Amino acid sequence: MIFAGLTGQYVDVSNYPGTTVETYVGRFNEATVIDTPGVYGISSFNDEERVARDVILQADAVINVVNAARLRQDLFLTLQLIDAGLPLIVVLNMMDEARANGVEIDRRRLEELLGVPVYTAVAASGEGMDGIKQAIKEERFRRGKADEALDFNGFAPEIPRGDRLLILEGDREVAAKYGLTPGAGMEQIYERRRERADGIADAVMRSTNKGVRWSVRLGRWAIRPLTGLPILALVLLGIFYILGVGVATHVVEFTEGHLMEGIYQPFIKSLVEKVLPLKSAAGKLLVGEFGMLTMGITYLFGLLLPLVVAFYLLLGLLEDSGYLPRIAVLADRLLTAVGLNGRAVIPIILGFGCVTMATVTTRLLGSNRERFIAVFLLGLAIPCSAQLGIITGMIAPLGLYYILVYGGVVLGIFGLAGLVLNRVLPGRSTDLLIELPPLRLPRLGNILLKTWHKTKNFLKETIPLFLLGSLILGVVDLVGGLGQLNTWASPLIHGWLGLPKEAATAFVMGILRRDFGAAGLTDLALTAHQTLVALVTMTLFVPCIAAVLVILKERGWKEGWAIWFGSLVTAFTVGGLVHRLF
Amino acid sequence: MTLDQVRKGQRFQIEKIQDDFSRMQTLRFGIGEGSEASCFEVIPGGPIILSSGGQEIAVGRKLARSIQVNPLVHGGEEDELLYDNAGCCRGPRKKHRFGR
Repeated sequence: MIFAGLTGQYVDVSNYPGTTVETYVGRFNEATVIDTPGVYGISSFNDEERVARDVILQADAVINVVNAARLRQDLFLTLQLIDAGLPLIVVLNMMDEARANGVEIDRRRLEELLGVPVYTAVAASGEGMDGIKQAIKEERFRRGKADEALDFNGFAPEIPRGDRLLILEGDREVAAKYGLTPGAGMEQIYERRRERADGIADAVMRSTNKGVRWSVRLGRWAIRPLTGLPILALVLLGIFYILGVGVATHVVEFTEGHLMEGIYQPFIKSLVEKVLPLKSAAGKLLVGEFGMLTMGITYLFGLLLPLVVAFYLLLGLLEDSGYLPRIAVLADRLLTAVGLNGRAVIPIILGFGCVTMATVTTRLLGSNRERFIAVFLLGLAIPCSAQLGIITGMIAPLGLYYILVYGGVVLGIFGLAGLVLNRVLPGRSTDLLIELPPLRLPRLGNILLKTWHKTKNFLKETIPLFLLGSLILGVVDLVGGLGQLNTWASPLIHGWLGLPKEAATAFVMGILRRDFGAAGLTDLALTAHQTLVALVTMTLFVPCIAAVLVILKERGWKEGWAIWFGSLVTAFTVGGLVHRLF
Repeated sequence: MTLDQVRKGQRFQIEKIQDDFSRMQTLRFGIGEGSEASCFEVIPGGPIILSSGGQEIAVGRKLARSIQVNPLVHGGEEDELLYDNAGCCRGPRKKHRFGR
């Protein structure tokens, strides 16, 4: 947020440490400003820290944004930056939240103890931004009071101080850069730094007895199983209700039925008709049954867009309020059984948004083993928001029995696959160790900004795929390939799954994009039983092409194809079993 | 005793964190060997949430088994009451004592 205020550029901000893996680059006057991921310290603990470390060590000066509401923790990084000898300005952000928690901070005393300028701000409202801009213009960056016990001697003169510090702290990667052995001093240095941070925090923080305590109580209720599980159930039910009933039915009825099919499609058809006959090949490709401008655009804007926007809004709410890590705590026990830990709820919940996106975030998991399990389960059993929207839209009218069977089967497969992988894979998974940020009222502006940014990216990535998908489908249809394909796949689709053979088209489209395939199912006249079988198979079926590509990129060719093939076999096996059993 | 055995509301001092990575990570969070903390919540069969210096940290059950702690006050319930009244940010003053 400070970054956005300085450069006028958007930055992804949320209440869960470690959600910004990318860096954002902007400009302020003559200077290039780079935003790093939010980290607790810099070294080689994880990707975020590596990125932050590399950016920070090359910087001319650093603006260290400290959360006033959690000064004690954040001072650790501040002191590390000071020890690294970097010119620094400290910004005490979220002063409003600190005040609300009943914490007063003595800015002058902090300045004195750190030896660097300290400014206060509430970035979300713009409070204090002018002072910070002024300070940067006047280059008030200073080197602070470093740990005097650090011994920087004995290094070649060309090695900068920041690098020396990290070598002393035992950072292998930095040491390797100079062909040196990493130092063994990490623990002592860290302990001294922690002690200094605590001392400073004690000296400058004063608790007042004012302030709201509802967040503390709610935070406690949210993790206590007795109250936490009902709260979680309510939250999930609320999400399902908003997405499945509110958006997937009512909003989509309006956008797809009214706006798209009622107004847009006749309009675009009449427009195209002026240039070329509708019965011609080009006419069919553009505005025919599978036309790029008819089916492609309608699915995209009439069906998907409302769902995706709604999902990102809800996800933003969860992230910004600090509730997400609490779900991690509640889910830890269950996820431990499938070889993951509570942290994995982040990629899994994100997966309900977009499996592709979620696959990338599996990097934040602690071991290679967990990353493999998470990627496999994401690809297999987690439907993405677009798909989920269509699925809820199709299954909700069928009644409770079908909803329960569908949910049960998919959840069962998720658990079963996880259990098997946990047994079969060598090695052991890491344990949960996360901080629970205080719950807070989500900031609407923050969430809207994030939703806008993510939706934009989503459309950028999806529009070409949808147009291409419609085009391929149209071409195949023109040459009579669809009938061929349907006949060819008939033993599997009709014989094994008991679906009309036209469903093969939907499954093939499902490879192009999962939701695209699910959307194709809505056009078929299916019985309730057939709908169930089709949806189960479709959910477990291969993830969309974008996700497959990311999986290949993240896991390599061998593992990638194993995951792809594994979910394909599982999908059809389970689909056939559901057909026979329910 | 180990961290997974503490009761809700109990105060204790962290004696030893076996796992190197976790030890460094908790130091950054603000908790190290020698820190005092109290148990904020125990999820049955799941993580232990401890509270120190106004922040909460969730520790997985297996990891908790490898963390040695030293109970400071017995009779957790009474302690929790005190803790509740004071609110999370104002527990009894905690001081780090690092053995050097």
